[in-house]
Amino acid sequence: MVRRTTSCVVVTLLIVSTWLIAGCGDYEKVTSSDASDQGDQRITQEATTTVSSLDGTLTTSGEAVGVRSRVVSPAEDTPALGPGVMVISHRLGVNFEVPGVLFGTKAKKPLQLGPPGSKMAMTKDGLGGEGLPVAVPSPDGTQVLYHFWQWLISDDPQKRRGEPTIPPGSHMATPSIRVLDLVSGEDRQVVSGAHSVAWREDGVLAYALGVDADYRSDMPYLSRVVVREGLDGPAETWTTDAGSYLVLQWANGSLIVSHEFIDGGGELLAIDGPDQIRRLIAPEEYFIALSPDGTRILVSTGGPDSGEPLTVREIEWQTGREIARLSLEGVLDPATGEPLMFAYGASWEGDRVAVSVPPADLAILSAKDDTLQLEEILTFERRPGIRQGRIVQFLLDETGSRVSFAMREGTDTVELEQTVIVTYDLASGECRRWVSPGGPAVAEMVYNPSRPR
Amino acid sequence: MLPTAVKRKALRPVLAMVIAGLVAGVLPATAVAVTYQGWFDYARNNSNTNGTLTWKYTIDYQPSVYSRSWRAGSGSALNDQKQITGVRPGGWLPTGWYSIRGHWNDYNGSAIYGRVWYLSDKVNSAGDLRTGLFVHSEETPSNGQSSTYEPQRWDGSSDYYSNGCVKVAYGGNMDDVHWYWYYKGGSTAHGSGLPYPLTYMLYVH
Repeated sequence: MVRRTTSCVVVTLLIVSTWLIAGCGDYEKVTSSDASDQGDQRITQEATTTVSSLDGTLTTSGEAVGVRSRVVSPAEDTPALGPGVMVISHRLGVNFEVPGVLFGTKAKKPLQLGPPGSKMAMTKDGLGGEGLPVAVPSPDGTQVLYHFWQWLISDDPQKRRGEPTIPPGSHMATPSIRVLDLVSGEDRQVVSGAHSVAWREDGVLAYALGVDADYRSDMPYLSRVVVREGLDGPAETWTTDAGSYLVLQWANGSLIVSHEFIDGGGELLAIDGPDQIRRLIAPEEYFIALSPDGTRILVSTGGPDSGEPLTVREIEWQTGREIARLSLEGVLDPATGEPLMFAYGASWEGDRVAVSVPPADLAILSAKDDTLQLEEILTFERRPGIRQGRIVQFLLDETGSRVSFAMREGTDTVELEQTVIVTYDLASGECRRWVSPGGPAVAEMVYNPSRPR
Repeated sequence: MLPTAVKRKALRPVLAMVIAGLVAGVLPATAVAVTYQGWFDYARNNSNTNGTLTWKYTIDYQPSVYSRSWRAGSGSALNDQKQITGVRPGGWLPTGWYSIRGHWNDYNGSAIYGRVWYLSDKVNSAGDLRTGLFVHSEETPSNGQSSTYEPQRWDGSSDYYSNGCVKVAYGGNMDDVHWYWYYKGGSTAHGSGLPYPLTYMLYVH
């Protein structure tokens, strides 16, 4: 009996010890998943019929919660940009170390930007990001303010393991802001050690002036917001405290500025003068557009990351008074049938607003008579081989009837391939696509988001 | 101070060896020191909420690679777009290798808290600089859960969305990630001083 009991104990101990050792996970490949995440649900609703639009372009249209939606077939290529459209194009494959070229109707011919013979430089704001203009035209349209980053060290973000790394704190690049005169062709520096710029209708500039002129490896680029009376006028500091600022646009006499914290948090600010700073929106909201007169803003809340319905609100931003509200809950992308996830980035002209609404491309809203209404959802069909395409900047013309946008096209690997500029006539359905000449390129739009103008 | 779950896990190998020794009739005479070398691997899986974070490691510089994986998320868009605070959410992490610039158990930031790994900046495919990147969960600075503050509370699948950070579910998964980092070839150091930055510690693809 004792021997049998001892045997049972030994066997039990063997089983337990084997389980414990295996549980350490040292000597076998183990994979776990998050069981709590089972039960995800995706609501889908199919788009419906196929019709021809006015110009014969084949489109798919359907009703998504009573809203007109369309999938626009691939546009015809055109050698010319749409009226009033300007872009800066960077050739791909050179690691953004060759300055860009300015294309567009106001530049009579493609113009190479930057000082003659520039090398290891890019003509965009590396601290900015898509969704912001790559450069800003003057209120009278005769000049363009653009970013110029002179790289001091060449780095390959795709380097292989074991290759030497750049020590933190190394001086990587010197950002600057330059101006190009579209009439005379003169190209000169306005300020060094600065980035992100807004240009008001009366010629007053604002930008973020670096505490240290250079961007340094793995260090925040700390800056102060500076306002300057014209290209060569006196400058005034509007934020005494240094921070990671991004100057977005003027709203009448106030500046809209994004302030980022080191851990990715941040706040969107309205700055009315030196150290007259206030939060513009709540942390859970996205600022998506400023009205043509600069008095109202559109903000969005909700979406899948919050669990709340996706909603767009029109607000009188000086007082915080809500003018109108529009729920986008249940509205579907006509191409995939998936619900809209976000609303961010918009162009507002007259009573019409074009808003980016992934996974669809654009929502066209009416902001007439203190109401917000959804007119149409548009998705532009990708060409064969293009798996991902996203709109990064867009611009309604002054009549609100034609929208031009930069679309990034990626292949199966979902990495960036090139950017094309599409111009779409909302009334006629005419759709044209411009590809930067000379091979794949990143083309970004030049426009002035400050209001009024 | 290590969380209880980590302590419990840390005791497992010791307990296993003691029991095994008892069964064999002998106690281990000496503890054999082994050298672990580890790194994170993040597979985006064409999803913001269904990526895979893996801890890979080798033992005593031998070629065999061992691994442990967890569901994780990154970004709020199916691309590597840069976040603009209050204007545009960030997409997933750009591909390539990252350094880890620091590690804290009790981070108390403005948007993330608790156990975090601070990643190096990286230029994305459009030439924009991605900054403020971390591996983290949603927990309080003391590794608990808040009943009132959402960024410190894991609510479910929607919390995998981020502005580019890699996010892991609170609880067993984060405990596991931290345990493997601590015991299987990451680092026992906290803060951002030496030995940080540790180069080539996260590979994103």
